[in-house]
Amino acid sequence: MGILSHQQGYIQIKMEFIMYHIPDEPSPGTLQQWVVNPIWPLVSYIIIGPLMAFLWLLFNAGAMGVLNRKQAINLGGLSFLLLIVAIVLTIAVSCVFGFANYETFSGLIMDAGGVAVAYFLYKIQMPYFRVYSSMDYPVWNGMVLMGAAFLLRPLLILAQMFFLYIIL
Amino acid sequence: MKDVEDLFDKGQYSKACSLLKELLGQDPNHFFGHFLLSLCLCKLQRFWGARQEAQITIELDPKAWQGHFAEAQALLGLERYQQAHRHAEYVLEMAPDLGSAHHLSAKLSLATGDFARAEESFKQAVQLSPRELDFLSDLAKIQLVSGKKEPARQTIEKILNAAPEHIDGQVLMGCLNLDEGRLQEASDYAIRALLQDHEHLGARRLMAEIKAQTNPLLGTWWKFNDKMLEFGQDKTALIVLVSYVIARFAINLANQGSNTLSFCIWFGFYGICFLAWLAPALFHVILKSELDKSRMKDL
Repeated sequence: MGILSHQQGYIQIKMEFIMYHIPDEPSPGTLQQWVVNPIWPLVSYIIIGPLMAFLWLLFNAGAMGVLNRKQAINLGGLSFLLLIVAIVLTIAVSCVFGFANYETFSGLIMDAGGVAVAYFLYKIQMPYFRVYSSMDYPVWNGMVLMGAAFLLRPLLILAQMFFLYIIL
Repeated sequence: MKDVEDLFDKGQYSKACSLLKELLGQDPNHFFGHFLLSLCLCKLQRFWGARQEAQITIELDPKAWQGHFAEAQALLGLERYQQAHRHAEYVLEMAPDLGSAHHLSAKLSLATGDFARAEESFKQAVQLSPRELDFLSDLAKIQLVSGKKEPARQTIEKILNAAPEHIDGQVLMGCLNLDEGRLQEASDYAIRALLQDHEHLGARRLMAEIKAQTNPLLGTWWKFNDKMLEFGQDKTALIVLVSYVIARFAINLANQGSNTLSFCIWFGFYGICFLAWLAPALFHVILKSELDKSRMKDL
């Protein structure tokens, strides 16, 4: 599609192409410069904790254009629901095995549930990330944020606990 | 369209994709545009996108073989062999003289473990398209696997005469030399292949076998790293996460006992992390520097 425009006495022809969109391609928006390889938010689950990992994974998916805001909120809601289910399950299991083992089983259920949710969020964006990185879009080095987060780890863990305390 | 076909023939699939996207932006119902885009996406290992494009091609002309061919290719990549087989049969019915159709059918037979049928189909594909080096290399692979060394040698020589830098041809010649006990020649072919693509799985496996014959420890190190490359990032991440959950659970149990035990568990977990993430990265760096040295020697 050609668009004619007069500029400084010359006729400039701008060619603007409507690019066909392949269904497996992400559509990154203005936040694309903050996109990282999803492995970093996933690793942050181990190093920092679940809350940072979930938020970072959701943000990354949104920045890459894999999820729109509504889908990200829905997924966030679903993750929260899973957290509640995990807590209820923990209490039920503790009732069966006795409250002496409460910490052991609650830890196992929360960790397994958290890891499953994080891996699910990672898995849905990974195929898009492969296409994204092959299309020469900017990819930020997530190790920088990971390093900073590692140094501020005690503060972040406190913030996470405070957040969970407010919610629950 | 001619430019796209040239790029496709030269193996520049990403560039071909970009041109096709421009073309389809102007004419979204371009039958050959969708067909070629689907083939390009298959070559780029984007099978889900390739399938979507193949389905559009079929919608545009349900009776033409092209759409079914593209769909079968994409389904083969997605490991849905039954569905792929149905489309491949249709293509063979509609275009029995098409070498690519026999090649596709052969790859499907190979994927389902029918080696005899696969070899027959590869031979037919080569007869119909004798200049297609990929068909020849697939035929040589199956001849090597079934122990037919002499026919395999002839096929590989045909490939290397036509294109001395053909990476699969070099790897196959290396395998044949290794089979016949000529370690030095096998190693030369493996290095030549790795210099072109240091992540080529066939070349890495060949090198692992060569190293294993000279030094079992080095062979194990190579084999381990090849396995990790084959696993890919997703499976490695899953292994680490599962180990993390197990380690945390074990520590919770151990805390009722001794601290030494929990220390050992964390030590084990960090060991798994090292093997899963750091060891392949270290291997990658060492391999690249070795290959650079070998490239310098050649200069």
